[in-house]
Amino acid sequence: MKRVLSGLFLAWCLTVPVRAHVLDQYLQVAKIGLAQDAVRVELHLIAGVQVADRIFAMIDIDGDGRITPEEEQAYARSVVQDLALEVDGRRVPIALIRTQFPSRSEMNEGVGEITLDLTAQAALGIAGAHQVTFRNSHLPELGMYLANALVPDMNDIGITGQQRDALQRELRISLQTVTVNAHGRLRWLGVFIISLVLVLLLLHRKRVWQLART
Amino acid sequence: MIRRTITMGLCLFALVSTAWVLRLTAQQQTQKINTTPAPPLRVEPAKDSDVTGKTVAAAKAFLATLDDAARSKVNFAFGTDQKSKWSNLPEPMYKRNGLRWGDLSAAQREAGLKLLATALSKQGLQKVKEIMEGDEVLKPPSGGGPAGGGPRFGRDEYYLSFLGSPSLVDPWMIQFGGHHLAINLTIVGKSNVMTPSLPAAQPASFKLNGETVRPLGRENDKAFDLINSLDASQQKQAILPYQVSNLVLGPGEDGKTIQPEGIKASALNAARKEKLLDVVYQWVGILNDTAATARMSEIKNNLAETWFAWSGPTTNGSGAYYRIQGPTLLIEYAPQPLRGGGLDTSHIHTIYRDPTNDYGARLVKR
Repeated sequence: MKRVLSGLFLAWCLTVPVRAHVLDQYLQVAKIGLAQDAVRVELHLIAGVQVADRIFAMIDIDGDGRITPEEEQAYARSVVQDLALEVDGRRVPIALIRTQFPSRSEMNEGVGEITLDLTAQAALGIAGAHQVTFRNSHLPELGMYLANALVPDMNDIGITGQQRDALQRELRISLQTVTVNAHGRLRWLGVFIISLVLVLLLLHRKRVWQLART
Repeated sequence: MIRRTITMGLCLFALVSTAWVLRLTAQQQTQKINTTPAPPLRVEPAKDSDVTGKTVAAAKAFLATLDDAARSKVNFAFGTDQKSKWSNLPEPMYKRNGLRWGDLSAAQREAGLKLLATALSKQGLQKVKEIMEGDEVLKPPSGGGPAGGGPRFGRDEYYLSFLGSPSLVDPWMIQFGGHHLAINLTIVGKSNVMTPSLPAAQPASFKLNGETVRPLGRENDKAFDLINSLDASQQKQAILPYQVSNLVLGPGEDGKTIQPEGIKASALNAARKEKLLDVVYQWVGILNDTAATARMSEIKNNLAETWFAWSGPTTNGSGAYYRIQGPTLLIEYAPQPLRGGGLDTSHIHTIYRDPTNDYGARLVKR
C-alpha cells in the first residue's frame, strides 16, 4: 500500500510541470568579491532534480555510490579548470580555498548545493582603471548561470560597470581604484590652487594700491 | 581696463580651478561605494497601547495556550542562528524548527492568527493566507505528502517560532514560514523590522471559493505598469541585456550586497517615482501600518540612490525578473525557470531585504 501511495505521488509530481525549483538545469551562481590584492569567487552549484544523477555520477568517479573527500576535491578541481579569470587582460591562476558538498539525498531532491570558495591574486590596489573578467564554461549544455560583483569592502575600489553575455556565463567588471594618497594629493592640489589664486589676488591688489598712492 | 581684466582673469581662473577640483572629487565620490557599517538606530521603548504593545500582548496570549512541551518547541534564544533558518523550500526538503501549524488546536491557531493579524497589515495577512492556500493547491490528491518522504504541501506545513521573549524593550523575533513563505519580524521597542522576508507563490493564480486569487498579483502588475511607463531611453537603461533566472540574494545570502544596476530613480519623473514606490510598498506594506509608514519614509529619503533593473519581456503575462536596490533596500522578483528554458509566470520567488538592518541589526547592536 505504501509503495502504491508513493508511486501515485511520484506520478502526480510528474504531471505538475513546475514541481521543484531548478529541474533540468545545473544552476551555477558566482559572486565576485574584489580586494586590493585578490579576486575572490564564491561559486554555488545546484543540480536540478532531473540532472542530479548525472552530476552525482561525475563526482562519484569509482561509481560505488559514495562520494569520498578525494572525489569531492577532484570534481572541484575539474570545475576550476572550466573557469577563467582575467585581470587587466591577463589570465590569472585560480586557487581552491574551500569546498562544501551536500548529501546524496539533498542532491536527489534537487536542493543540494555544492559551494566552492576560490581566490586569485590580483593587483587591484594600484590606482587607476582595472578590468576583471570571469568566465564559466562548466557543463554549458546543462548550465544556468548567475554572475554578480559584490560591492567591494574597500572604499578605494569602486565598480564603474558590469557587462555580461546573454546567459551570464561571462561577467566583465570595470573598476577604478583611488588610493588614499591620491585622495590626499587631490585635496592638497585644491588647497594649492586656491592659495595661489589668493596670493596672486593679494599681490595684484597691493600693486594697485601702490600705483594709486604714487 | 588692464587692471580690471587681470582681476577678472584671476577670479575666472580661481572659479574654473575650484570647479575642476570639485568635479574630480565628485567623480571619485561616485566611484566609491559606501560600505561603512550604518550607525546603530535609537531604540524607543514601546507602550502597551502602541502596535508593539499589542503584538506583545497577542504573542503572550498565544504562548498562554501552549503546554510546556509546545512552549519548549516554539521558544529560541534571541541572537542564535535560528534567525537565519528559513527557506523557500517545502518540508522536509528544508527542516524548520518551531511549532507546526497543523499540530495546533483550533484555539491555538486562532491565537496564532490573531498574533499575525496584529503584527501584519490587513493586506499582509491576506497575502500570507493566500500563499498558504496556494500551497494547499499543490497537495497531492491523496492528501498530505508521500509516505516515504518527498515534499509535503498544504496550509498545515507552516511553522511558528519566537526568538527571545515578547517585550516592550528587549529585542525579540517572530518567525513564520513554510513553503514559499518566510516572515522574519524583529521587534525592538517601538521599531518593527520585517527584513529579510520571502513571499513567493505557486501557483501564482488559482481559484478559491470561485474567486481568482493571485498572492503576488499586484507585485507583478504594478511592475509591468512601471516598466511600460518609462520612455525608450529609460527602458534601455533599466532593461538588463541578459537573463536572470533566479534570486541573486535569496535564502542563505545574508549580509551580502551586489553592485546595483539598471536605472537610478533620480532619473525618473515624479509620476514614475510614485509608481516605483508603489511597487516597493507591496513588500513593505505586509507589515503593520505604523511600521510600514516609517519604513516607506526611509525608502523615500533614499529614493535618489535607488535603482530599478528589469530582465525579460515587458508585456504583462510574460516571465520577467526585476530588482529594486537602494542603500537600505533590496527587492527581487524572480519567476522560476521552466523545464527546457524560459521563465514560469505561475511559480514566483521574491526576496525583501535591508542590507543595513536585516534582523534589526542596527537596533540590536550597541
